Amino acid sequence: MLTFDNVYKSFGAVKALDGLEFVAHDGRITGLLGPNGAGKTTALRILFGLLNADRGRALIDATDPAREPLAARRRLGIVTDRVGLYPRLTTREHLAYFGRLHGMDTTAIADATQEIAALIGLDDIIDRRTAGFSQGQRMKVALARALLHRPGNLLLDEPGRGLDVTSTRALRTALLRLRDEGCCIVLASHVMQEVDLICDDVVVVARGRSVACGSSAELCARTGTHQLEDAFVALTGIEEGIAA
Amino acid sequence: MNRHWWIVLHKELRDALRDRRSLRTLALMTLLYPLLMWAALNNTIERKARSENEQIRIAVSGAAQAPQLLARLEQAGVTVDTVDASDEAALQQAVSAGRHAAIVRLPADFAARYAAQEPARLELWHDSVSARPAQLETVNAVLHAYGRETSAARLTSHGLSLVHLSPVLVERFDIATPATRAGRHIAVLFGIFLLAVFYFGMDIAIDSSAGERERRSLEILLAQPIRGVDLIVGKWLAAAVFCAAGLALEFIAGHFMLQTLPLENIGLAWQVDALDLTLLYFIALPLCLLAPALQIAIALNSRSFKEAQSSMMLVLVVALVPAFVPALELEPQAWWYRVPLLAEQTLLLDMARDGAVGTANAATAMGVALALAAACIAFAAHRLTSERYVINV
Repeated sequence: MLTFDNVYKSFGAVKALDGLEFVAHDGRITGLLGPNGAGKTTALRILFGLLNADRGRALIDATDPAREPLAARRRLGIVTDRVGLYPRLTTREHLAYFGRLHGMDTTAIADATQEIAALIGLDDIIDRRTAGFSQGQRMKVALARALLHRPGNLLLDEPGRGLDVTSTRALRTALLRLRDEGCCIVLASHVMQEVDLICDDVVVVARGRSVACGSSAELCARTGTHQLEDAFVALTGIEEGIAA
Repeated sequence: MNRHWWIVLHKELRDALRDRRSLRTLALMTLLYPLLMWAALNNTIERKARSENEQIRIAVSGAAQAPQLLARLEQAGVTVDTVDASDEAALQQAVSAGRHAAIVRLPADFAARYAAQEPARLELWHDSVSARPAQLETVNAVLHAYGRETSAARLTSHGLSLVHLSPVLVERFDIATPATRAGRHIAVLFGIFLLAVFYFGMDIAIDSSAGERERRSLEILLAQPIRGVDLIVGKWLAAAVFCAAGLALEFIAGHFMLQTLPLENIGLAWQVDALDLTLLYFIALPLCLLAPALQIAIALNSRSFKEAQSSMMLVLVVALVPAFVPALELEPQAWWYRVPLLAEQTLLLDMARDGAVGTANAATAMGVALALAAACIAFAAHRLTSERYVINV
């Protein structure tokens, strides 16, 4: 479970988060929707323990990343749009490196690698060096890297960017399975269709605040619209920043 | 060893050992300075051998006037061709033709003045740019010896002894042995070897810091359960391992090259054994910790490999300044032991001169290098965890 409890964060005169408040529950996929600059990345970095909130607090289960960043990060799996792979290492070596950073031993890493490879479909690239991987393959490695230590919470920042249809479907299937296993998944995105399709809850963020929470249908009902995109525009009060 | 250090070190080394660029730099820099040293010494040795074996050939114009002088020259092993160069233009042309080390011209009145016991003028024509100084020196010496003999003969004919011409007799004793002469020479060469510590680990230091930013892998790495300082230490140790390995190979290569050269031919000797070599290496080892620490602390602030490389050039320029102080042959000062690179070079010179290094001086040099390395690492770790840095990764 991930909790944002009235979190404020400013960079100089810029208010990145202005009282952000929402809860993402276990066994559910929570979509974090917001235009560019709404504060999504800042919110995630506060969860990673890389930035400290000025006021309020974020919690991962019951752990405060500001106080115990290492313990907090052990409970997290992270996939960002910056996939960032090492071109001279194979997929298996990537998984081993991050597994070891999470304190896993060799046997645990070998078992988890096999399991994740089956879940995401990595068999054809598991022993290949990542140089020259397609965007879809890179995303698969990033997802496997985030899941290897079996985190209770998974954060994804724009995971669908640059993926083809097959890869998008594979990602979606994997996320749904993880949700059914009880994982708390937060998906930050500004692709409406993606959020609409797989998210159980949607949190709309604008100007550093959560302006609405609820299921896609609830948001549409509240704004008197038929599509999430229209609801989003109505809630954020902006026309720009929507990529379909 | 901290478990995280080991994990990061292991990963970075594996990554770097697959990186052709890092390996190429390491191989090139390992051999570059020893090869340059070998080439320079070998050239000196060959030149010496050539000048010893080479015939000195000169031309004499107006030779018929001084048969004794010709005999003297031939006794000294100088081959003499007689020519007839009447004017200056012909002489200049003959000299620049380059067949002769020099041309001696006896003017038309030489024999007459010689017989009249007046100073008989004799011209020595040569080209100081292209001629070999050693050959010219030999010819010069023969001419002077001929002059001395003539004056001795004339004095004797007047009933005077040659002894009156040498009121003081100077004898020189040089206690320098080939080994001690070589010491200074070779300490300076090994001092230049030390500069390579800034190259050995450079690629891996940049790749593991600025490279992480360029690949956009740094944010994910920072979001793993590892402290920033442990991450930096692991990366630093990986670069330091490369650096230490490079320095060891460089020392060994230099050692073997010096052993294979016939240094005795140029009055030098290389009598350093494995133990001395190990001591030299041990003295220089803290530099292998300092150079990568400095490089990582700087490269971390660059967004790309290229940007980091230009910053590294600045480091190299600064490092070059102390490296060339020993070449100025100044009297060593106490503060030299507190300047990295200069300190290690001064210790090498001490060892060459005294056969040992002062413990206090060695401790100062190593302590300063280690303290600076620690400061660089602390700075890098602090940067990595600062919010201003994180929002820009």
